[in-house]
Amino acid sequence: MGKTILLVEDNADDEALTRRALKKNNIGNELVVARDGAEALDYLFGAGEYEGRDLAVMPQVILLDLKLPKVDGLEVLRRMRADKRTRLLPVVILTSSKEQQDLVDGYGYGANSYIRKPVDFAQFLEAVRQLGLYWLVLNETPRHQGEG
Amino acid sequence: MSGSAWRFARAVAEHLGRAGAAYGVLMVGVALTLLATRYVSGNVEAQERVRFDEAASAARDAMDRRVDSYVDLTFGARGLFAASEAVERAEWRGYVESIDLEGRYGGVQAMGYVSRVSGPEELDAFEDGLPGVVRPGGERAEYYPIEYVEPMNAANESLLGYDAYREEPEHRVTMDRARDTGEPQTTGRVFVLSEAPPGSLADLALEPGLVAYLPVYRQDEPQGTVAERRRALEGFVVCYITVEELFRGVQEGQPSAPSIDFEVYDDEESFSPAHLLYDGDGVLRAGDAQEMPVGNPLVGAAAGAIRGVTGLPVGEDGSSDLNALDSFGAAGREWNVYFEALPEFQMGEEGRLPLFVFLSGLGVSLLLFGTTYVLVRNRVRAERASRELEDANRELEATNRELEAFSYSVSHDLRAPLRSIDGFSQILLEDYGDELDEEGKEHLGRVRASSQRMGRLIDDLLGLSRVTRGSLRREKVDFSSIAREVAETLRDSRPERGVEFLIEDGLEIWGDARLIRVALENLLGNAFKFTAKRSRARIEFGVDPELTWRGRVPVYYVRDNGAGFDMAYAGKLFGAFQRLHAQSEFDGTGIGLATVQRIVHRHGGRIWAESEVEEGAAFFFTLRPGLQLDPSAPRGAKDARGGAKSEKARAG
Repeated sequence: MGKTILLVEDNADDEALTRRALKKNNIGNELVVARDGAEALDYLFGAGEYEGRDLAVMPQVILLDLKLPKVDGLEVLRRMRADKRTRLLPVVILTSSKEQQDLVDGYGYGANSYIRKPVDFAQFLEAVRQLGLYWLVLNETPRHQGEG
Repeated sequence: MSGSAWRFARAVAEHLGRAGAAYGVLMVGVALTLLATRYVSGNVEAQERVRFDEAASAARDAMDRRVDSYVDLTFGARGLFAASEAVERAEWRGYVESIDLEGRYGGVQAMGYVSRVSGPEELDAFEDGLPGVVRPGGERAEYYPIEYVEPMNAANESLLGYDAYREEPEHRVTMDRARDTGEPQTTGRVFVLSEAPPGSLADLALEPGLVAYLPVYRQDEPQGTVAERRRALEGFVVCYITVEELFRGVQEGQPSAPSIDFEVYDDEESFSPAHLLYDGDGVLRAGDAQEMPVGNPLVGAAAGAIRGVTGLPVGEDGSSDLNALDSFGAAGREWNVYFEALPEFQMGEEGRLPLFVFLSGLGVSLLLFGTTYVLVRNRVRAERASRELEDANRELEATNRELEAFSYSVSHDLRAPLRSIDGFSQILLEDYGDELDEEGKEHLGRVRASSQRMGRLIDDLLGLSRVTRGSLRREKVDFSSIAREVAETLRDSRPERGVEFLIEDGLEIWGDARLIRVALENLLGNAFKFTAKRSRARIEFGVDPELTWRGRVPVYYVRDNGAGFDMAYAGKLFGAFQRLHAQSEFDGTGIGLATVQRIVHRHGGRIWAESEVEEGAAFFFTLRPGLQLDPSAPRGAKDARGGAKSEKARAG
C-alpha cells in the first residue's frame, strides 16, 4: 500500500481545494477524508464505520483542521497522542485560525506543524507542495510494526 | 404582615451591624455626658447648699439679733425707772424720742409703760394723771392700764388707759410670765393697732405683731423669788412691734435678700398657719415641706448653726429642695424659722452649668456620632463601590472572552468562504481558461483580488481588536533593535528598492514588546509603502530633540520623504478604514494607523502627524512618562501638554 494521507476537514470546499492542491503538486497518495473529529478517531482506532480496518495501515501524515463538529481538532490530537498506536504519527494542523492561543495549544498537544490556510489559492498550492515534499518524501517516520 | 415586620427587623439589624460603631460612640458619649452632668450638678448642688446654708444661717442670726435688740429697748426704758424716782409723762416722751424709734427701730409701733394699779382706791388717783379713763372699767383687785405711750398718734392714743391684762389672755399670760421671771417676754402673734399705711382709706389698721413686756419692780423690795417679784411688781415696760416691719428689716439687711424666703412661726413644734408670725413672700411653704419625708440632717460647716435641716426634693408645686428649719429663742418664746430658696436663688451662672455641660456633651456626642457614622457609611459605600467595580470587571472580562470567541469565529469562519471563492476562481481559470475570453479572465482576476483583499481586511481588523484586548505587559523594550528588525524585514520584501533606513541607537522604553513591534511595523511599513515611488527613499526613526520637552518626555518620530498627505485630512488619519490615497495608488486597508494609535494610547501616549503632499510625512508619538526607563525622569503630566503645544506650533 502507498502512504495514505488523512485529511480531517468538515468543509467540502476546503476538501476539494486540498484535493486539487495535492493533485496539482502530483501528490498521488491515497487521501482518506474524515468529516469530523469523531470520524477521524474512528478511522485511526478502527471503530464505527471503520470497524475491522487494518490498523497496521496508518496514515503517513494527518492534516487536521481545528474547528470541527462533534470532537474538535485539539481533542483528536490529544487522544492520538495518548494512544500508543498513534502517538508518533505526524500531525499537521491546517486551519484558518491565526490565534496565538491555537498555535500554543496545537504545539502543546504535540502537533508536528501548524499551517494557516491562506486565502490566496496560489499560496495554498505552495503550502501544500512544501507540505507534501516534506512529510511524504523527506521525513522519515519510525517503521510501524506489521508493515511490510 | 409578619413578613414585612421580619424585613423591617432585618433592615434594622443590618443598619446596626453597619453603623454599630457609630451608635457605640453615641452611647459612650451620652453616658459620659450624663456622668459629667451628674458630677457637675452634684457639685453645683453642694455649692448651692453651702451657699444656702450660709445665707439661711446669716438670716437667722440677723433675725435673732434684731429681735434681741428690740427687746433690749425695754431694758433701756426700765433703766429710766431705776434712775428716776417717778417717771413723768414728759420724761417718757423725751426718752422715746431720744431713741429714734422710727429711724432705728422700724416696726416698733409703740413704747409704753403699764402701771400696776391696786384696787379701785388707787384707780382714781391714777386716772387723774391720765388724759382718759382706764378701760375696761369696773372693780377688780388690780388694774394694768397703759400709763404712758409714745410716740403719740391716733393709734397709740387709744392705748392710753387700756388694760390689756384684763382684756386679752395672751397679754395676761405674757405679763404673768414676765413678772414671775423678771425677764422680757413676748406674746405670740397678736394684732397691733397702727396707723394705716399711706393711701389707705381707714385711719387705723390692725397688723400682726408682737408685744414685749419687761417687768419693773420697786427697787427697795427684794426680787429673789417669784413671790417677792409678784409683790415688788410696779409695772411693765411694753413694746408693740409689728412683725412685718421687724422682719422686713431682717430681709433688707440680707445680702442675698430676695432669693431666700423665710417663714417665722411662733411655735416650737408645728408650722401651722395659725402660728405664722411672718412670711417673706406670702406663700406658705413650710406646710408643704413638712408633709414630705424628712431627710438626713445636714453634715457640714453650717450644720452647727442650723439645728434641723431637711433635704427635700423639688416638689411638683415648685417648692425647692433647698430648705432648712431653724429655731431661736426670742424673749421667752421659741420661734421656728423655715427657710427656702426661691427659684431665683438657683438662677446664677453656676445653676446653669449642669445644663451647659449636658448640652455641650450631648452636642459633642452627636457630632462624634455623625462623624463616625459618615466614616462608616463612606467605608460601606467604598466597599460597595469596590464590589460593583469587581462585578463590572468580571462582566468586562466575560465580555472580553465573548469578544475573543467572536473574533476567533470571524478569523476562522469568515475566511473559509473566501478561500473557496479564491480557490475555485483559480480552478476556473486553470481548467476552463480556454473557454473564457480575456474579459472573463479579467473578471475572475478581480474576484480573486477582492477575496484576497477581504482576507487581509479581516486579518487587520483582528489585529486591531487584538491590540485593545488583553493586558498590557510591561517590560524593557529595545526600541532601536525592534525598529531595525522591522526595517530589515521590509528591505527583504523588496530588496530591489534600496531604501535608506536611519534608526537612532540606544532607544529603550518600558512597554509591551509585541504591541510596540506592531506599531513600528505599521509606521515603518507605511513609510516604506509611501516612498515606493522615490528613487532615493529615506526613512528615519528616532527621538526628536526639538519637541522633546526639556529632555524629559521623549517624542519619537518616524519620518519619510514619500508621497505625504494633505494636512486638511489629518483628522481622518487615525480612523479605522480611513484612507487618504486611492487603492490603485497605494495598497492598504486603512487600519494600520488606527492600530498604531490604539497602541500608543494604551501606553498612555499620544500620536500626531505632519506632512505636505509630495514632501514626505512625519509621525510623532509619545509613550507614558511613567514608562520611561530613566528613573530620574519625573513623572509629570507635562508630556501631553508639551506635546499638544508643539503639535499646535507645528500645525500652525
